[in-house]
Amino acid sequence: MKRRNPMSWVVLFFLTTGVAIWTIPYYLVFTYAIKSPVDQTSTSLWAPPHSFNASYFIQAWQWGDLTPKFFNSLYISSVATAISIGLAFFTAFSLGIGKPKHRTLILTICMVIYAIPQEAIVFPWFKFTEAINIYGNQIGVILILGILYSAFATYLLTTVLSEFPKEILEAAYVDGVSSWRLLRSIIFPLIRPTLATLAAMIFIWDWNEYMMPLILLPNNNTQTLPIIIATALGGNPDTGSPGMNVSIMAMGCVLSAIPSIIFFLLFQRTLSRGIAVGAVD
Amino acid sequence: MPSKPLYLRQKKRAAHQLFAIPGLLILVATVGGALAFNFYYSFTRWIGFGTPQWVWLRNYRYMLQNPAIRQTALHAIAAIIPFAIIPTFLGCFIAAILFDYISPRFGQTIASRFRGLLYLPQIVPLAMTGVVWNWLLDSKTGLLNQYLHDHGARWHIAWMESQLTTQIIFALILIWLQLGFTLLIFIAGLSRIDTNILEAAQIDGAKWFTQFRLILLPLLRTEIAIVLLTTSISSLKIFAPVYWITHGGPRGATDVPSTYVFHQFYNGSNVGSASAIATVFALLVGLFTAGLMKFQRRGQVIKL
Repeated sequence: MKRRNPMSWVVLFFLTTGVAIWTIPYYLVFTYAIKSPVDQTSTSLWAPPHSFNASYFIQAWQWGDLTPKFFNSLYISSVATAISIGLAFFTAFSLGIGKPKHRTLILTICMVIYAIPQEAIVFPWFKFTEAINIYGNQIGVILILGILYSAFATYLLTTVLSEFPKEILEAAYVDGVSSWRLLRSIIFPLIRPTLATLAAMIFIWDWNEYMMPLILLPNNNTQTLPIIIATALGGNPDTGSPGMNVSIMAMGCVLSAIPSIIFFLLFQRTLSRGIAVGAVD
Repeated sequence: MPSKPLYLRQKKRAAHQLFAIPGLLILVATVGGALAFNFYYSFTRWIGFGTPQWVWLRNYRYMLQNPAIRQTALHAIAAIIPFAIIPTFLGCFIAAILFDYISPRFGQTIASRFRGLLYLPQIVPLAMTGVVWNWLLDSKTGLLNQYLHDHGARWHIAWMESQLTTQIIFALILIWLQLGFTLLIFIAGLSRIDTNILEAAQIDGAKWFTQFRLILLPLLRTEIAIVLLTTSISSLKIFAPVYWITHGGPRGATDVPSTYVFHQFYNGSNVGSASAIATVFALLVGLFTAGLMKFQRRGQVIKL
């Protein structure tokens, strides 16, 4: 630990102020959501709640019938993530370890696909789901999100795998290991932390995806949690806005953010370390 | 290197390469197919069902002549400043302060708490963030105006109703949104740096800012490049922040190509024209991405 001087306290003060300003919107919503009705009117907005009031939680949940929507989101995000990682892992193994001649070109294509604005593919995909009779089914959203994000996952995993220690590969080749064995018994266990981090990232992206679900899921019963809550709260003029109790609204916000926050807390360390360092550390 | 392992390696590598086939086929067939259809629609007049009517380049001509569409393109390009450039440099600076100044003096816990809090806007669903900001900034029932009113403010600002204030506020919100992402990447990059270099600099009596400018900044070059790349691309195709926070308004002041096209599709009014805009923008974003990838390869291997 280094010596603190007056200057370092000044820096800490400014930084703390900055971070406080950054979190104010969420602080206000969160405290408002758990304050009791008396607290809400009698105390200042900034004051912390006197007690934890769960009634808005229950009201918001019942009012929006959120249990099935929560499972919709969970289902869509986890299956789509699994598809992305599954597709990307094999491609990245081939590109990163097999190092084919045109791999930079292929990686550029992956990055371009990842970068392409979704509005350029959403309508043809919508027509396609109609044609094969899965329009309105969550499978349509799952497939397109899974495939789209596999492009990013391929790019990232390839850069990580192309720095895989040569000594390990060399040793495996001398032992005459087949591609499949190498992939399954050597690379997969070593790269698992990176895969987990990547999966967490993609899961959150899928969870917070809007354009595809908005267009592909016309029925509220199949829609994802964030969209349902925001739509019902009047955050979405496209689908109409029934007026809403502010407290229930605040609680809805808190609710739909919880899974992402849990994921972040679980993977915080790997998010900042695992991806940077790569597979093997 | 002895010749036998080398020979084996090449043979093995050829076998490895087969594993790319299913993934790449699915990727290219799906996205390529969708893009091809989108391209086809862009030459037609079509309301989304029935038979598309071939109209040659009429949609493209309409796009060039329509000032509203031109505005959306300008907005997306302007978004690069608050959504890519400012967060990149701010993130770089704050990451250095957290990692190299706060952490050694006040402990790692406080530094990672700060990072976690600054990252919040990145993980809370944007639909929620939009609801929250509208709740705060609403001109009549918004918390900010209520607060100002309670503290004796006479004036009454319609934050999200005038075009200029909305643009300014929205730009600030974009910085607020993006900082956590850039910070995370830079802190990850900093934790790779050999601390001996920093200690040596301190023994030589380097001031903190000199150390930041001459040592940390050059060491973060690859991270700066990758962060600028990804954030610029997300600015060009920005959708969710606009859709949920301003909804493109007021009167198109923050409308961007993706929200414009989305509404055309959603309302099913003019699929052909919307597809033309989407085609042009996909092409732009694609070229931009490919160009930056090429530019980056001259430097170092990109590591995220």
